[in-house]
Amino acid sequence: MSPEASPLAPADLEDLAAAEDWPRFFSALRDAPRGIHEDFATVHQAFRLASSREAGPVGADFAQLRVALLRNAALEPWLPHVFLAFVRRGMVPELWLGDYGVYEAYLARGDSKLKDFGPDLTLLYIDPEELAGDHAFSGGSELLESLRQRLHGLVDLLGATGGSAVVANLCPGPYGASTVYSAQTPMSWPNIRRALNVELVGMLAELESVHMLDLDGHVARFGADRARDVGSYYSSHVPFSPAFMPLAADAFAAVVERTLRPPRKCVVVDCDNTLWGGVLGEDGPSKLQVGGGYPGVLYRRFQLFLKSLLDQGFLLAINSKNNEHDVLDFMSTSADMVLRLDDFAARRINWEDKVRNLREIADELNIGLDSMIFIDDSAVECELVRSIVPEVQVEQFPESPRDIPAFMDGLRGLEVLRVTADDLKRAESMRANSKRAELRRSATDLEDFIRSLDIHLTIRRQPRDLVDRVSQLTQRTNQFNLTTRRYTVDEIRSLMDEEAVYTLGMRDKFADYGTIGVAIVRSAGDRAELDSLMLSCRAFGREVERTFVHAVLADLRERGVESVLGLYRESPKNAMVADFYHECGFSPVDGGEDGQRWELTLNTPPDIDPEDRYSIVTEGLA
Amino acid sequence: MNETTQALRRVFDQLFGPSVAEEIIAGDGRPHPAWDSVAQINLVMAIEQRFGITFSPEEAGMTTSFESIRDLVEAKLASRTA
Repeated sequence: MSPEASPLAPADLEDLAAAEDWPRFFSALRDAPRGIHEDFATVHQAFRLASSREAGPVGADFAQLRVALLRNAALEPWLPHVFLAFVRRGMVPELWLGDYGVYEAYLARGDSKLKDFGPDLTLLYIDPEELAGDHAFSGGSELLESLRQRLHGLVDLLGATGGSAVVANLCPGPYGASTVYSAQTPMSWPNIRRALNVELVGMLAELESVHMLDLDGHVARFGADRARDVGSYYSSHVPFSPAFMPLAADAFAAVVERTLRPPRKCVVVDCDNTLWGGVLGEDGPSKLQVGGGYPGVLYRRFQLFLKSLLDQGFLLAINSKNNEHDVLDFMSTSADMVLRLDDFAARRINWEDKVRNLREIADELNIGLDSMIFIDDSAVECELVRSIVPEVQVEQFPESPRDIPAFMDGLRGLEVLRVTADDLKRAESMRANSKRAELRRSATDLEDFIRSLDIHLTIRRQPRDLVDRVSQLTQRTNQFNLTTRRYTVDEIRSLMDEEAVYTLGMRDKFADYGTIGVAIVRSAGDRAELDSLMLSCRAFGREVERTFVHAVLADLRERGVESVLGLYRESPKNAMVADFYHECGFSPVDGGEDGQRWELTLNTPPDIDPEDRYSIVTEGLA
Repeated sequence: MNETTQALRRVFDQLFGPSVAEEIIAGDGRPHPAWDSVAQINLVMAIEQRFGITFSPEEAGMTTSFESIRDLVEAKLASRTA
């Protein structure tokens, strides 16, 4: 919610819809204060009005997608909440509800209803009480086995559709308080439900595009008795209480958002009253609260939380008004600190303004300000950053330490679906940046610098083990990206079947960067077109991009391609590559409604590494 | 129109849209096509939340006109303050 958002009256919604001003309609809903999203009648009003939209743009900053919901419960009252939760996260969904209790018939190939709708994503909601029927009290191994088979079958069918899907795990029903007997009996109904949820984790781990909605976890936090309304459950099969509906919808929207957009990349934290309790410069290191009992234990928990983000591929940075020497000294000597200097990819500990520091950190790490989350306990600092660089996600750290757990739970922008090996290498390589910068200063010229890095490149064609990473690069790379076309894992797999996908891997004396470049080529006869070409910001400044392109061109020539077309599609962030094809020897050609086209005739084999600067290994190239 | 009636009317306006809500309220008591079983569930949940009251499933099944709902809401509000 933007801080200047004003309350949105129901009449405003009616007016905007009547005027068919849908961009403002959806923006108003997205930016409205939270209270509106919890008001059942207003949520339903918004959904009713949006459902009357026949056509027309929704606004450039909204993604549109089609979402199918398969269910064995009355999800109708929940749909408007799902709609609004999506809008709150910048997505306008078209929702389609399957017939009650029908799963297999929709998912099996050949059924036309779901196919006709053509969902971008399918949700599977299974009400376990409904599924178990009369056996829900008795339990038993036969029940477990039959439900396990049903669940396996459904997940297999979902996986086979090839599209993105979300499966909600099984949440407790409106009765069934655990007795000692049921808790201690492996085949009791409560334990069967838990066992199926654990199995579901294993089933989904095998499938790249099917993700989990931890409804069970959300119900547990909210309270099982409050999450359902017994009256409406047994009279109408409505699975959620109105109070729980917004929360369940947002949890669903959060998973879906992550299938469309990457998370933030870097968390920038303040030190005093954020990494630790107290002010280092005033209280002195011995008085700081970190570790031990309350409240230090909660600051330590927060550090453990940040440390866990490193394992998910996020970067950490410090932006603190302090004497640098004091902070470095405390961080390297305190026995209670979890985070050490090496955990931070960049740091600005000085008395400069924090916006300037943030910009410098972004430059140093080669990431956009819109990839950053800034956490600071000062309302003034937060407001300053919010007002000058609104693209940074600003989160004010709680004043009271007891609010730290809820703060960690509520942090948006950090959800990841899966962590690839390359994610983990990113932090390592970014931390190597400062050492590299030092070397750069000591090297007399760029040529010497590049040679001193001892760069090893690996260029591969159709690397099927890298489909996740290739898709991720297409989703995340903004600056060095010639066409900014985004592809899902399944689309990359199809491209590897039908066209050509090349990857570039790199390591130097400081770090192994993993896969940092992708080229996608579509060919027809002796002509080819570079559909996509991108390089991760981690690889900038080493001039490997031309070597990569020349290796791809050389391979295409060997395969009989005589001319190659390249396209530059301008985006808000890719101005740096506007002349890239020109630098690679391409000539501009007319045509191309969506950007500048360039062409190169492959008369002679391109020289891949004319200065002999890199050690190059290829795989699958002709 | 008293405060409860006005607040109830606002809920009807929001859920059905002002013109359909007008038709329902001015109707002859016969079921309006927009007031189907799903609308019934939504209406009950919206009213419960707006007024801070609870309908039993039996009561929810009996709320088939604007007037009957208004009477029920007023009775529940009165018993709460009594």
